[in-house]
Amino acid sequence: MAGLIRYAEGDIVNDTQRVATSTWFNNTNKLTSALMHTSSLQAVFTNPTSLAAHYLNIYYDNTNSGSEFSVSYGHVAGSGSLEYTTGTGGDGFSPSRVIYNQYRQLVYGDENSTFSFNGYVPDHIWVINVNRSRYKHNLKPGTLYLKLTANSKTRSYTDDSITTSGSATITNAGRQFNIVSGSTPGVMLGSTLNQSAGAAHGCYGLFYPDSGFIILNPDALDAEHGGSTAATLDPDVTQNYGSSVNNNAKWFYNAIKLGNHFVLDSEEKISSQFYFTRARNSEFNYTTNPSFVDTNGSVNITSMIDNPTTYITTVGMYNDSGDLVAVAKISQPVTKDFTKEALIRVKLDY
Amino acid sequence: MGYLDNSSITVDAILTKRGRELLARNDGSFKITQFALGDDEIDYTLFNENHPNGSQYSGEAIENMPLLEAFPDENNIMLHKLITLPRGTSKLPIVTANVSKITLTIGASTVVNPTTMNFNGSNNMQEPGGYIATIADRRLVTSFQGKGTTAKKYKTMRPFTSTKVSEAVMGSSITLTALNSTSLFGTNTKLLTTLTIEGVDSGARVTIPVEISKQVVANVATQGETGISLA
Repeated sequence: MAGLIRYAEGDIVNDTQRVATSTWFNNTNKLTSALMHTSSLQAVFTNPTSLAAHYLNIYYDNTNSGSEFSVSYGHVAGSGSLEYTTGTGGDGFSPSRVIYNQYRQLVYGDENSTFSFNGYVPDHIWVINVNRSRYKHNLKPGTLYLKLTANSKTRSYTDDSITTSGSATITNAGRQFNIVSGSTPGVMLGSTLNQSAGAAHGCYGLFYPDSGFIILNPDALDAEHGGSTAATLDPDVTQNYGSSVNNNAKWFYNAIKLGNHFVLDSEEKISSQFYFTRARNSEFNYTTNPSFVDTNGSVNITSMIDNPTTYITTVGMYNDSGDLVAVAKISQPVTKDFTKEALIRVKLDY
Repeated sequence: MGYLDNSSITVDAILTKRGRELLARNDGSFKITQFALGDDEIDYTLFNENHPNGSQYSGEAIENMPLLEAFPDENNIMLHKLITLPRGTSKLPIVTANVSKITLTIGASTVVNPTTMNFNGSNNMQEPGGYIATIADRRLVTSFQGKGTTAKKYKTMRPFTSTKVSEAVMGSSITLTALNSTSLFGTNTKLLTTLTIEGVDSGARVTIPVEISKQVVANVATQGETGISLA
């Protein structure tokens, strides 16, 4: 077909780049307390089959922006939430058990394992699950900076992906990093995973950037913040526990909201192909554009008979069958004549 | 002393509808192997040979033209390709046909014979590679065929629906037959579309308007008075 030139072997180059962006709505870097809201429609805690009995969605505002993340509470024996059906045979079958078993299946792939935080195995967990539509391929390790405030104490948490202790453990849910104390994202403060209680409660949590959730250790957080009232990070593990005003997930959400600082970036791997499109000086100096010639085919502009000038606006990319499969436009016309060569680098992202 | 600008132009490409379709097939048919350059949007009558500041500024109006973003429809982009010809060429290939406008009644046929002027040193000849003819609205013709040694079905566009939107055939002559029902007319007395013919070797193209008329013989109420002539 007329005008088609084959790309030479070295003209097509592959490249892969990692692109990081803020995770939250409107490319917001930091979620503050003013940008965290629950929905009164969802936050119904008195019914064990309600969504809020399983997870609490956190919203950026009251528009239709969708949730930012959700908070859940899980207990290995089903304590700390209302049972679906009370009475003999129904004991322990509750939303908290569902949540624990769900994440256990995701991380360990079986029904017997328990979450171990640097060797410490609590009966329960808190989960922060980032809305899938908020991040690209995965959350970016080394960008987590979460502040929790409870019992009038504010503490900063991050993952340990940048420190020497931060080599990832690979699980069924992808890479796993420890949640540690630290105000520099990705860098652990001090030399132990748990600043307050030392090895007694393991580390504060586990971060799964590839699956988009964080599992937190309530016992370690409680030891860090102290206290044993509902204002602290000490979940109520009463069996068949229910409250018309609160639940364990909401307690944890309150600590996040009071912390006023939740930063977490997402990451995307973009594969690109670069096509080096070369117009040599002797090529592409005439055009089939009807305004270039009159009805007999004679060049309209006298000076262009000896020195034809064309203007490149579009690069069409074809397969072997001559199908136009991709196209690129240039922002301003590029002048082409017998004294000029043009090199146009066309980028195609996948 | 200033720095020399050794940077290349970098532009982002988008996939056309056809490109997406071939990519989804995942059979290797998407692979990009060749390119063409186009000058869509450029009007060369804006090239001002008599610019008051001299010939260096003749292209001022064109060079400052802001260009539109790329369209994903491959039928609406790369319409005008840049071609390579020997320096000093004063006459460029022009595709012409034996008709400047096609007017058909329901069920009628016609043959279009394209030729190319100023091609390979000849005043008027048929291109050895033949021609690609594209009917914009395939629904308006019951038959659309290329004839001659290069004849073959070239491309049928069915974006997102099973309805044929446009169809292209290759050949040295093109035969088309108008639709033979009035269902598409509604209250219109004629339907319009275009036939675009592109020379495979020259890249030159011509667009011919096509008009299909709804032949009204008589109204039912007046049958007794005027009669009906049956085709």
